[in-house]
Amino acid sequence: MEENLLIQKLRELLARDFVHRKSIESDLYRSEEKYRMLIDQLTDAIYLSTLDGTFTGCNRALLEMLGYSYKELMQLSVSAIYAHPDDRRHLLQQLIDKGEVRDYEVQLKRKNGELIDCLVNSSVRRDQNHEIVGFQGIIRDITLRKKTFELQRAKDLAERANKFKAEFLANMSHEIRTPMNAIGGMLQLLNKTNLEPKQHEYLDGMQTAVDSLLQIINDILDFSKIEAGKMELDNRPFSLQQTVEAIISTIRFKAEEKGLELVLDMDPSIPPNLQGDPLRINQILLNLISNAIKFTPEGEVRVTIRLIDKLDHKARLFFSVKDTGIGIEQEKLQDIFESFTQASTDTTRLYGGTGLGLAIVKKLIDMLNGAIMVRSRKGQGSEFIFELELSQTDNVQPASQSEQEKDWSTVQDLQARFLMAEDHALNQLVTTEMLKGRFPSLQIDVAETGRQAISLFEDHNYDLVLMDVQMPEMDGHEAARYIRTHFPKPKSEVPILAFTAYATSGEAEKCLEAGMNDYISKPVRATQLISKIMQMLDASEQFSKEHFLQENKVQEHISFEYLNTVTEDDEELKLRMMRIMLDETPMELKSLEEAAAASQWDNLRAVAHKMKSTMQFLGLEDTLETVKFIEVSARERTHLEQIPEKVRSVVQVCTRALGALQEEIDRIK
Amino acid sequence: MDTTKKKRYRVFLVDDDTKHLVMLKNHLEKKSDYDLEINIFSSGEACLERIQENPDVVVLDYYLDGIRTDAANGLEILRKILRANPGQDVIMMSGQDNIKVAIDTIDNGAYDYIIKGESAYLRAQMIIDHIIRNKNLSRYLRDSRRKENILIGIVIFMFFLLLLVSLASRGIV
Repeated sequence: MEENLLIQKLRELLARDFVHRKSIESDLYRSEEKYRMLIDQLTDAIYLSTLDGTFTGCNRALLEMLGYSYKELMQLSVSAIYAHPDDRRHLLQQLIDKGEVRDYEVQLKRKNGELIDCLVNSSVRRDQNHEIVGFQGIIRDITLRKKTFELQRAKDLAERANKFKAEFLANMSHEIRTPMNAIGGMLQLLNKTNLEPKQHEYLDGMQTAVDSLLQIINDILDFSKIEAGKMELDNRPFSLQQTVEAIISTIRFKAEEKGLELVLDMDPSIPPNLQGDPLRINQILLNLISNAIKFTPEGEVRVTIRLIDKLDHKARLFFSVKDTGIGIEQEKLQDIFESFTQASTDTTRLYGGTGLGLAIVKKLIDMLNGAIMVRSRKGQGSEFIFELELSQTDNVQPASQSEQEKDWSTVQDLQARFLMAEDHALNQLVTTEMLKGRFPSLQIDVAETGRQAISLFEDHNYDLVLMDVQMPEMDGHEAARYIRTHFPKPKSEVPILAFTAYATSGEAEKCLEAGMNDYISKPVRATQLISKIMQMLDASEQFSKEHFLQENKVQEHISFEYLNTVTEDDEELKLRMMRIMLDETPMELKSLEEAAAASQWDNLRAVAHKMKSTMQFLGLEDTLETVKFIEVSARERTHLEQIPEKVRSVVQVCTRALGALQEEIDRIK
Repeated sequence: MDTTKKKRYRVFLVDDDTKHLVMLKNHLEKKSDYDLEINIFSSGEACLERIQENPDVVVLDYYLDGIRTDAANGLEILRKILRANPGQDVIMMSGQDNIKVAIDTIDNGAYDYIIKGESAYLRAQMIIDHIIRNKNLSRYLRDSRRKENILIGIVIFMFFLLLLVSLASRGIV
């Protein structure tokens, strides 16, 4: 019985153990299954291998990575999957030395021979005796990541190179502009001296060349600005009508020179109050029209602008510039908007140009969210069409600038002292001569560095400072800031005009931030410089307006007394006379200026002689004397050096008188 | 002189200054005692082309190169006019500063010389009227002299006729 009981107990125990073991087994199995699934679903490959170089196990990821089946892989030598067998040797060496390897970069070979970049993390397996029996590890495929990285790097490099290129171009154009400014200015000055007609001809040629060079530099500058993403668009109210008409009138003479007809056909229903960047639209049209003129030997250039539709304060406009010129070959049509491309290399030789014009046009139109197209047939002309969408504004566009500008032509001389800070010797000369030519009494002191300018400024009282931005030792910004902060009022409030080498908006802001009142960009034109200076002096509180010296204090005004007397108040006759003068005088003035500029004294005498009657009829008695002086001087070849000045004053007086004449005619009518 | 207005007199004005031409033409048309038909020319060459039409008076400016620098001056044109039409009445006009020119032109056969200025139009009109009046007078003189001659002829003829008649009546013939 006891024995039975014991056996019974034992049995129970055994049975319990069995059940227990059974449950442990199934637990084990389940857990293994779980890990296997986990391992199989990993994207990183896991492997086990022996010391002698065969695989003893792996997950699915490795099979997928290498392209073998499980069976194939188990029969393969490990070194077969390495692209460079040496890699395995190095890996093994490190494993044996350190027991593990982290992030070892290696190239593996797939079954189909394809190479993949992988990162290997591996460690050694040892038995109880601490002997190495094999290895285990994780392999990660980084091919894609590496490729992306390389692409990214290549892209970064390319972008940097492009930016460098743009900056280089911008800098280079800037460096060219400074000496070009000097050359252009010198030519302007030289043109005013007494020269042989032949020499004038040569000078005019040089002037044209300088102008076209400047145009090219401006093109490059614009282009690199767009490329570098530095071109900013304006968004202000403007009148398209005015913008387009201004372009046509500036370019008309070019067309007439070639005997071409320039036709403007503009939809009258285009809203007058548009908003956008008139400067860029101007640039686009100017480029297209001058191109059309350039490539058209005969016929016409037609500019058409139509309103396509008008929706919610937005106007869609259609522009077309069509010529009857040489045309473009079909296969070249796609390339013409690329930079540095002209329809053919022959074209460049024949017509000149950088080939940047259309590239700029395309980029500008892209920036304005428009689209450009070209239709052309060789020998029959081309048509460039583009569409722009401009918003309408309720604001009335501001009066045009010319109306706001004061007329300084009455000021004959300036009793003032200027300080000029400029390191470039030629530009010093150009600016000085420009100013002295206009205002003989003007005194100009020159400093070559900012520091020198400060020390001169300390010792003297100046009415105005002309400040070049780029100077050695202390640049223009610093010098201006110094003047504003280190001197007592009112000395510190002297007007300062900045000379910048190029007119980016950033540059202008920097000048104004440094405390300068205004800026002017090189190359400097005499008229622009003088008008800026006059505006600044006019606005300056310290500068006494009495120093604006007017000729004979009072400038001569038109008087109709004589005309009334001689016509005996015959209104019809008077009107007829006034019309004749209004028609003929501009031509006479032009001939007067041309003859004086070209030192053609006989012509000058003849024109001056003829102009005398006009002066008399207009009651300009003092000017009549001036004209007589010109006539006599030209005949006797005396006082020739005074002629340019006298001619200038005659032109000034007459130009104003013609305005008054027009008013009088309108009044009578 | 009202009777003389019926005839139109032709005047050529030559000046490269349109204003002077217009003013002078206007003045002459309004102020002259005579009915004038006025042709204006802006160059001496243009005037020469029509000089065969025998105008009564030519008013010629001395300086004619204000528009075209290669245009001939007034003195040359004066000589050419006189060569084409000997005896043509030509009035020269010029600026104040050319007295030497004035003498020169008179020496070369100009009828008179006018200095341009405020009174130039009046002077021109007076001289033109004067020339026309002179022409009319001399024509009248010529006509009346011819009439006189005819009268004398008739008188002499009549005298002889009377003589003849009286002789016949006395039975001499």
